[in-house]
Order: sequence, then structure tokens, then C-alpha cells
Amino acid sequence: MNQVRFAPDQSERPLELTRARLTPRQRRTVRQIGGILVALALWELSSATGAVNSNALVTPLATFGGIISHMTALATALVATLEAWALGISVAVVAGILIGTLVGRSQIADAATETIVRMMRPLPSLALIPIAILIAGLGVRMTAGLVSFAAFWPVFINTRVGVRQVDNTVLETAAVLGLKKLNLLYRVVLPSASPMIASGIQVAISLALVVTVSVELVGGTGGLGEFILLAQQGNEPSVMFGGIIMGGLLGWGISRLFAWIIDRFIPWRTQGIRTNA
Amino acid sequence: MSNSILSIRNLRVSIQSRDGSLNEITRDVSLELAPHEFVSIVGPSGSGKTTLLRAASGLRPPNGGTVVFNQMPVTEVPKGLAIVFQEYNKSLFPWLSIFKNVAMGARDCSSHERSERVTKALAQVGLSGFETRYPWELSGGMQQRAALARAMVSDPQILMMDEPFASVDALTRNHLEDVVQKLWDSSTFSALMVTHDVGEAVYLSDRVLVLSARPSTVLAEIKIDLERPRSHFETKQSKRFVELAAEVLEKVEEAGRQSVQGKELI
Ligand SMILES: Nc1ncnc2c1ncn2[C@@H]1O[C@H](COP(=O)(O)OP(=O)(O)O)[C@@H](O)[C@H]1O
Ligand SMILES: [Mg+2]
Repeated sequence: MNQVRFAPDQSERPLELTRARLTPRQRRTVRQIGGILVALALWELSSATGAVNSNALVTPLATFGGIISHMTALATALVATLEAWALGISVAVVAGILIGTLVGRSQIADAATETIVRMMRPLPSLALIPIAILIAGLGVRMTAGLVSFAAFWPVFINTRVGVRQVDNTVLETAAVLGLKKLNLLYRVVLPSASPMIASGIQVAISLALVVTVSVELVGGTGGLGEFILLAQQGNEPSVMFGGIIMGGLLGWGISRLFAWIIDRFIPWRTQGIRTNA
Repeated sequence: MSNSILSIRNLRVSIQSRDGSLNEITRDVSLELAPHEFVSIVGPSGSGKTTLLRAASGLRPPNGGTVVFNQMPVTEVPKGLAIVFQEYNKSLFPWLSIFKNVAMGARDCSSHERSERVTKALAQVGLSGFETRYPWELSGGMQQRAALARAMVSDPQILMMDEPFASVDALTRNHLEDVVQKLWDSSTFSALMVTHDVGEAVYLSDRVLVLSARPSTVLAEIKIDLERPRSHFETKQSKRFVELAAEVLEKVEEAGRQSVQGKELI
């Protein structure tokens, strides 16, 4: 990877020695941290100077105070949110891959499900809350159900496309190797589709978190969403902001973790396919 | 003729184009491949060599004619037939190490025998030590050697190759040609190679078939009576090699002229 990237030739750029000493990766990290600091500063400025209604927008410092003072409640809420999220995303990933594979590999299944898919997909999960409450009652199962409904689609769609778009040379190679049916599926078709499936999961993971917190907030079913809702109703904006910030951090952590897992298990994803010697 | 291991008779292949009309690619190709014979089919790019090889290997059904392998009609890719594809970069599986890629060629063997065969095949193509590497970590020439090793571990009766060296540099190509020659020399399989490179065909083959312009027929068949083993340094400078290469080239150019005339008619 690193050799492929163009790095400035340090020996020919003596005037920029201090800049060139950082690797491109380090430079990126510095810029990211810089971006965060600038955002925090703007936030602090806009709330402290009263540029924005100061009751609603608290300062970063106050937010930090809110997080510290409600540590245990926040931790409980985070765990509850993670639980609903994990339950929902697991169902979505398993169902999305299974059904996506079936539909992608079978023209009959594809035709039979096409209209249903087109009708169901645009339904917003939040609109389904009443139905979900009727079916599962209020609670983590209801939240998880809605999360899996929302997160199913990106996994399903990417799996369907991925298993259908396997390169012809790959399929012919498999045929020469005598791979058929299930062997063909799990030794060639699914691995070949895995970068595509992983992208679908990546989208689903973030979407699932958004839906988890939204459902909690609208339905008052515990977790971070309800925490934010209660803080708002109790007129504690600094605590509310603490909850929001924690939600953002959670989403960031989860997606970084998954990106790391992908890099480990599908290293060729970023490699592209080499076309020449 | 029942002596031949592969028998292709009056093969005709048409491909359906986007507008639904049938486009005749191969009109009439016949070929008998004897045990441990090395035959090359030469034709310009787009003349239908890959299509011909697909039909001959059972990857796609022909529109006419028959393919018989070991007295058995070919309906799917038979056991005992290995193919090295032109697009080695797609033909090796990026999710498997080189060892596991090559081992895919010997899935029927016990795991002990499989690993012995893989080790031997990797040594034969000069890839010992690269077992745990991944295809995308290797150069093009090395990838194609891995593909060759995978073909070898199945202990094939026929090795088909589709322009196996077309996308590597000239030095690597010379080297790969000798890898193939050595594999063929030290084993008993028959080889059927398609290529657009006249020198390569003459250098490796016992017989060279020249395809006409599309829709293709066999325009000429030239026996290559060069001594074996052959070497780039000596064989390619010998008078006989130059004569044979000129003879093949003349036929290839004749095919090229046909196709130009054909285009003018349309
Ligand atoms: N799947 C396909 N669909 C439509 N046309 C094809 C297909 N495969 C090959 N052809 C056409 O058939 C002709 C011969 O192709 P090919 O067999 O790949 O030639 P070669 O291998 O000699 O370069 C080309 O003109 C190509 O455009
Ligand atoms: Mg070709």
C-alpha cells in the first residue's frame, strides 16, 4: 500500500523539512484533530457570545460537565442503545445476506420479490412504530425490530448485486475447478461479493444507530434516545448535549471498529485488481 | 483418430449480439490433439480464439459440431482438463493465499497428498517460499506462474492456455515460455494454446494452426519439426525456426488481408 502512494521526495524539498517529516497518515491525523478543535472553538464562541440563543446551545465545557455529572445514567443508556442496536443489526445482516443471496442467485425469487421490495423499501422506519408497538409492545424488542427493518435494505441490496456481479473469468475459473452449487456459493460467489456486502453492512451500521436513537427518542423506549428526551424535558440542555455527543462518539467508534475488521478480513478490497506486471 | 485425446469436429460458435442477432464467430474448426502433443492456434485479436477455447473446454456449448475428450462428448468442463486464462489477475482468488489458490486445483486429493502436490507444483514454477502470500502481492508474471501451478496440481491430461503470456513484459514472457516447456517436457499432458504471437507458437508447439479471419476456419496447419528441448538463445536463431515462423506469419497475414477485404465489402 505505502509504496504505491506518492510521497514527496524529502531529499529534494529541504525548505519544507518540518512538514515532510510527518508521514501522510500522521499529517491526516493532525488535520483531523485540528478540524475538531476548530469546530469546538466555534461552538464555544457562538454559545458563549450569545450569538445563538444561549438557553438552547450550551458551551462545550458545560456539555462536558453534563456528561460527567450523569456518568452512570449515560452509561446505562449507552448499554441499552448498544443492545437494541446489536440485536437489530445482527438480524439485519443475517437476513440481508441470506435473502440477498437467494434473490441474487435465483431469477424466480428475484421476480417474485421485486414488487414487494420496491414497496417496502421506501417505508420510513419511524412510521412503523405504531405497528411495531402492537406486535412487540414497548421495549428493546420493538426497537430492535424497527432497526433490523431499516438496516436490512442496504445489506440485502448490496448482497443481491454482489452475488450477481461476480466476474465472468472468476466463474469460469470455478467451473474449470469443478466447483458447483454450495461449494461454488461459499468458496467463490460469497467471497467474491464480500467487499460489496461489507459496504452494505457499513452503511447499515450507521443507519441502524440513527434508527435506534430515533425510535428511543420518539417511543421513549429507554437508551440514549430517551436519555436525550428526558434531559430536554427536564430543561437540562448541557445533559442533553452530553447525550448527543455520546451518540456521535458511539457511531464513530462502531464504524471505525468495523472499518478495521474489514481491512483485516478483506484486505484486497482496497487493493483493486492489478492488471499488469 | 481414436488415438486422439481431444477431438474437435466442425465446431461452430455464434454469439448473440445486443440486438438479438446471431454473430458467427467460429464457422468450422476441426482439430485432433494427440496424447502429449503441443498444438497452438494462432489468430489475430478478435478472431475468436477465446470463444473457440471456451467451446472446446465445455465452458459454453457450441452451436454446431462436436467436442470429444477421452471418447466422451464434452458437455461441461471435464475432469482432466485444466485451463490457464489470459486474465490471471481475475483467475486467482484474492481471498486465498497462493498455497490455497493452487490447492484448489487438487480438491479431490487427501489433504496430505494435496499439500505435497502443491509444494511440488510451486517448486516447478519457481514460487517456493510464496505459499503464504496473496495473489495481489505478486507481480503479473508470478501470478501467471501460480495459475500454471494450480493447473498442474490437478495432474491434467490436457492443459489449455488462452494467451497465457500476453500481458507480461518480453523478458518475463521468455521465462514463462520456458516454464511451460519444462512442465510439458517433464509430464505427459497435451497442450492446446491460443495466442496471437507467432514466435511463441512456433517456439513451443509441435503443430501450429492458423485461423482465418472471423468467422474463423482453419486456414493452414504447419508442422513444427524443431528439435527439443528448445532454447530461446539457440532455437530462435536457427535457420529452421526463422523459416517456420515466416511461414506461419505469411498465413497470419493472409488471414489479416482477408479480414480487411471483408470489411471493405461491408
Ligand atoms: N460475451 C460476448 N458477447 C458478445 N460478443 C462477444 C462475447 N465474447 C466475445 N465476443 C466477440 O467475439 C469476437 C471474438 O472474441 P474472442 O473470442 O475474445 O477473440 P480473441 O480471443 O481471438 O481475441 C470479438 O469480436 C468479441 O467482440
Ligand atoms: Mg482472447
